[in-house]
Amino acid sequence: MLRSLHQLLDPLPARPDRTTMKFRQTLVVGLGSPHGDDQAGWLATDALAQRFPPNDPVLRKANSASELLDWIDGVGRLIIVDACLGLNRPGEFRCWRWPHRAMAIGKWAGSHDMPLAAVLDLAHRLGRLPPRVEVWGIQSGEQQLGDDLSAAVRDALPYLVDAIVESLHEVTPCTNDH
Amino acid sequence: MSGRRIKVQALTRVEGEGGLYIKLGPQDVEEVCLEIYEPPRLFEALLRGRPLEDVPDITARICGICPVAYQMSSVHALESALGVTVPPAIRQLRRLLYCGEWIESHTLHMYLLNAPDFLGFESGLAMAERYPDEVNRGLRMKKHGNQLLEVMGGRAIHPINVAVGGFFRLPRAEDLQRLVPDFEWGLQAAVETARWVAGFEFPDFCRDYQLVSLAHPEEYPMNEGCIATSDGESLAVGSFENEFEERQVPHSTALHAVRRHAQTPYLVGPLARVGLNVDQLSPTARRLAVEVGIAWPSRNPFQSIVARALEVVHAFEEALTILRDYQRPAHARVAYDYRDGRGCAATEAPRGLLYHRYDVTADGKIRLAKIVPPTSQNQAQIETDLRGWVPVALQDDDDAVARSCENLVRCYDPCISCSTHFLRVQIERP
Repeated sequence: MLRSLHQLLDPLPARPDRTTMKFRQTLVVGLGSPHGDDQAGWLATDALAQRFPPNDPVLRKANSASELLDWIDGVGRLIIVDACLGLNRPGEFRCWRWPHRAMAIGKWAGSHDMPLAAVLDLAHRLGRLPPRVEVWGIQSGEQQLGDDLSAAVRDALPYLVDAIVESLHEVTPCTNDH
Repeated sequence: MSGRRIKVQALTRVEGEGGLYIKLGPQDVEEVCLEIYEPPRLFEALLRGRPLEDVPDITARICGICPVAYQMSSVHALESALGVTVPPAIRQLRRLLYCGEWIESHTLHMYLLNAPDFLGFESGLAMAERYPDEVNRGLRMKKHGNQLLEVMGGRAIHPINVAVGGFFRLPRAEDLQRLVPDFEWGLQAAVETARWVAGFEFPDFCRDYQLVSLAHPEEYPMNEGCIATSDGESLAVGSFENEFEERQVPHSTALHAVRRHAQTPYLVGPLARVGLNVDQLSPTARRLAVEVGIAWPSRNPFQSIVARALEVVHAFEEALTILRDYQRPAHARVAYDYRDGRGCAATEAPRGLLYHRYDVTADGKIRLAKIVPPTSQNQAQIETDLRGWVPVALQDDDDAVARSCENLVRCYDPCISCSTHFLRVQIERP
């Protein structure tokens, strides 16, 4: 049977790719700076940008945790990636679900270094914290300003990114047993 | 009064690391030391030998809350050394950039650092739970200030678009136009903020300040003008080092500043700026300055929060004017040739007058740099004020005295990181 030309030129639309809508309300923020292992959050975000379509999830980089307050409204799931201290060895990483005692606020010294925990607590008290908040931390090595990424963190970064991807797909979700 | 010693180990809700030591004698306050132990950051030495084009971005790293101030003082000082004059359009864009910084710095300080003291809260977090609408208002105002910094400066923290001679890239008209609705909201929010803070209860504590700030015959001072004082002086910026002196003190890594001839402290910052320039505020800010019922100039440090609020009104209103009228200039920056020389400039950082001086070489390198931040200029005055405040605040409870002293220190919005080119409160009682 002959078909009308418009059907040849404009076939039936493809089935919608449901994955493009999956992470619309998910915001991933890499916290960091251009120095040493403190770049880890930014680099992880850059790597995630290669694994997902634009804006799904929304990916951002921040210098300061307080910038989160500009971006979290309407977000259903907030994922933060940052270098940290307190784990066993450089390159080791883990995930914490907010709230967690490991993210105790401590002394909030000033406006420049409003710590992440204080920002999350502030958002919570204002009724603006997303319902699901996960913080991925990767242990930093001992470094100075202006250093490059350490070998340990550089080698671990792809595994961190894979773990975040798996968490986003709920293959291996972030729990406080992670 | 007994011979007590009161020490605050680490001041909270101030930027940077500092502490306070108070020694009380049998009859009076024997000693007050604002101890700054933030490590010296040695930026002046760091700049020597570097290309002058590196200076704005390097000095911006002195501070994450007031980077624009360092960039503005540095480019104006370098342009003075090179004999460069920027055209009016660039001048106006620099004021727009500064408006963004005043908004985000002042707003964060008012809402999260200073207002909790007046409302009886230990922290901005505790206050947020009782005053969520107000804190959300402040955070949104700060956000819009940051957005302006992003559009003008390339990013909100440590902007990257400021260049000697102008900017690396001019903003597009549509990017600035897009900010207008939020800045219209921001102006109204700033008015509500000014009315809110003006209603706080202020201790009756007036000081014999010499107020110091820039003054300009045609505008509220930001980047240009002479140095005015409440004694009626009008000083050329080039005479700064003849008139003001920095000196080291043993208990602080931050230098103290005094008037060179009288060896007396002085005050810079919003209280001084508003006090010396109230008639140059924007129309809405000027009306509010009358409405709030304070006789300007005020010499009560607790009323600094009202001065900050008026400046935020001014910043939103001036920014709106520039955003609405913006016509993209033909060129982003003025060309220049290197020459051996010296140049200086003063601009008004959120915390007060910020002075830079550079000696440059014929091949475009920095030979010498001098940076005098506002917080170090205020250190001596803060200590003097604390010496006057302690007898007022004194009670048997050392913690209460310490808190009261911290409240006063926070009124100056000290940026300790800036003031160390480096509030623990310790109270000793006999």
